[in-house]
Amino acid sequence: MNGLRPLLLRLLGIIGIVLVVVSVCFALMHAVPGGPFDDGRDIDPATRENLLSRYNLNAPLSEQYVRYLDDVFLHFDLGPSLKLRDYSVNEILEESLPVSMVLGLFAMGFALLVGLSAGAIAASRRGTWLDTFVMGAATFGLSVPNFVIAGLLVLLFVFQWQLFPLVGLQSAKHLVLPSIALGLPFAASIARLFRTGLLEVLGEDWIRTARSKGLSPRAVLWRHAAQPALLPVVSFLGPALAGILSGSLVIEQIFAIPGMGSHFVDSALNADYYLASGVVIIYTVLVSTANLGVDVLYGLLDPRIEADT
Amino acid sequence: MTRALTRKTPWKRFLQRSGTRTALVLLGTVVALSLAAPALPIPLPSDMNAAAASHSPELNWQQANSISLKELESSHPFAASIRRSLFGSRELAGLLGTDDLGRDLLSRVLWGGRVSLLVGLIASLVSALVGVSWGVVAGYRGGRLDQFMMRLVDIGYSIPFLFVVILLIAVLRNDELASHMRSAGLNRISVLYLVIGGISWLTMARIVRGQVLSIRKAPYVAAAQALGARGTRIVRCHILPNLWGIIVVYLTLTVPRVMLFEAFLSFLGLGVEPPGVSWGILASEGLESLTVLGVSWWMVVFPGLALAITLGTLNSLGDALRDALDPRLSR
Repeated sequence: MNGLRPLLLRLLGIIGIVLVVVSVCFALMHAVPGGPFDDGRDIDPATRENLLSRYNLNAPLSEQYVRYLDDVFLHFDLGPSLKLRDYSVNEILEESLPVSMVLGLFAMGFALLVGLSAGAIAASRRGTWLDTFVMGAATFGLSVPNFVIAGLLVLLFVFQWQLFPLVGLQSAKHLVLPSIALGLPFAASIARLFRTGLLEVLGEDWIRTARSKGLSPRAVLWRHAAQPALLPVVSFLGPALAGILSGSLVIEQIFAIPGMGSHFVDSALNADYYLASGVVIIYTVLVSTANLGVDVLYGLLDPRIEADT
Repeated sequence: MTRALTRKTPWKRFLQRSGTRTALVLLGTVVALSLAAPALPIPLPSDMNAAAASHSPELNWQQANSISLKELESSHPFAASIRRSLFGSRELAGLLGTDDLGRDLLSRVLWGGRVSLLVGLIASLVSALVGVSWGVVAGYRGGRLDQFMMRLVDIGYSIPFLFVVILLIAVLRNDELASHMRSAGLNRISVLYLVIGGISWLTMARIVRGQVLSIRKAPYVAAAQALGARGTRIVRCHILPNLWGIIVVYLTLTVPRVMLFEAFLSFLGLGVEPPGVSWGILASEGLESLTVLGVSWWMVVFPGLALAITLGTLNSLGDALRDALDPRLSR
């Protein structure tokens, strides 16, 4: 049972982080003069009174805080949406979260496919013009913001050649350009990490043994070198996921995809504080669990590492 | 990294790395042009010209608008006088095309560059100030305080700051709060410096703390302590001088991250506000200009290029500096 202890500690850590984030969100919401329901417009006093009593806003702040914690942690209730009246934050997220997840998975898949292939090509052709070209492109791709990539893709593939539709989410085709724009910077990072990993591993003794027993370079690369070289890539997956999810804020906006990211930006622009806080909280949970998953995966891939995080 | 390490100074290693000089020249060009924008013979970024709306790039050497020249003279008198003596009252209009209001894109990219670069620089300095102090205190004091401070940094890494910052900015958009901030002397853009800088210092703190931990054990620090030097003096005279290299490296790597952050926020309409210009705003205007009615490709390509060149060269220069200074740190 010794293996479970660190895992439990990590889970406790995640709960702690979520607690911090929930508290920060609560503090920010209530830092607004007049509370989260005050949006600068005059509302009917009766409606106002209704809202105040419904959401317990006349109670002391500490009571409201305890109530918010209780709602979030024990009832998984993130509160009402202030602008999309009649919808709760939970309902909005139930609809939009899967959309963002699919987009994120497509982007991650694209990043892994392109990144690993490019890294392998660069490493196996080390020092040639191809290597220089691939790594140059990766350094460049790493630095270009995803909305710039999105702009270029839209320019070329929507307006110039009319291969893809611009907005909406009616078919898988609609997801191609957003996934590429979102995944490309991470493909670049993965390519660099995988190349470095492969080059390090390719210098090891067991690779020389594999070569000397007559294996083809391809077999050496994929059967012997790839697994240990993947480790740096695996540890990058956590940050990459976080990056892809935050990148989807702009990408969803550009391609009018009704995901969590575009709801978040709208809610921030419209002072819909419960919705905005809800997204922050969900995002924190997602990213910290994903990081935990990555660490577990890391331990499985490399038995030398004790899961002592 | 099998290449043998030759005995060269870090600066030489840096300059001899392939691509470093190209990157320096490219970055230098963008920065110099942006800094010189008020003295260049181009229209003002806010000058609208309905007659020349959505024009594609072309070469026009024409008479400048006298009202804008006066405006420039009152806002940037020195640059305006240089401009007058060098180029007279003529200007280069529409070299990179114009937007849908007939504003000159070259001018908007260069003036926007001033804002983006300034935000990047100041926010990075804020982050360096916080990060270095945090790292030095944690590393030098050590013990429980160190553990506590580093625990906070760990927690910081797991907090989705981008989201929290957007929520914070949304809250600060509230009119009443905004007027409070203004009376405290904080306008939108200084809030941006502080907020972005305030969340970008974690890596700097970690790196600096690690360095301080090893420097602290050096014999010369023990000697200084034996001679009775106080903590502040040891930090100032023995520790900080050994940190400059690493601080410069991570500052170089922070600038593009911070600029990306600003572009991201401005793109979403939460950063620099129109009529202010920054590269994030221009990128967003570029995407909006793509409609079935007409495609102003220049509005997408040139702001994107400016961002890509600046961020790309800063990243590669930062990597090169890091490798040159300490080859063990490179991955």
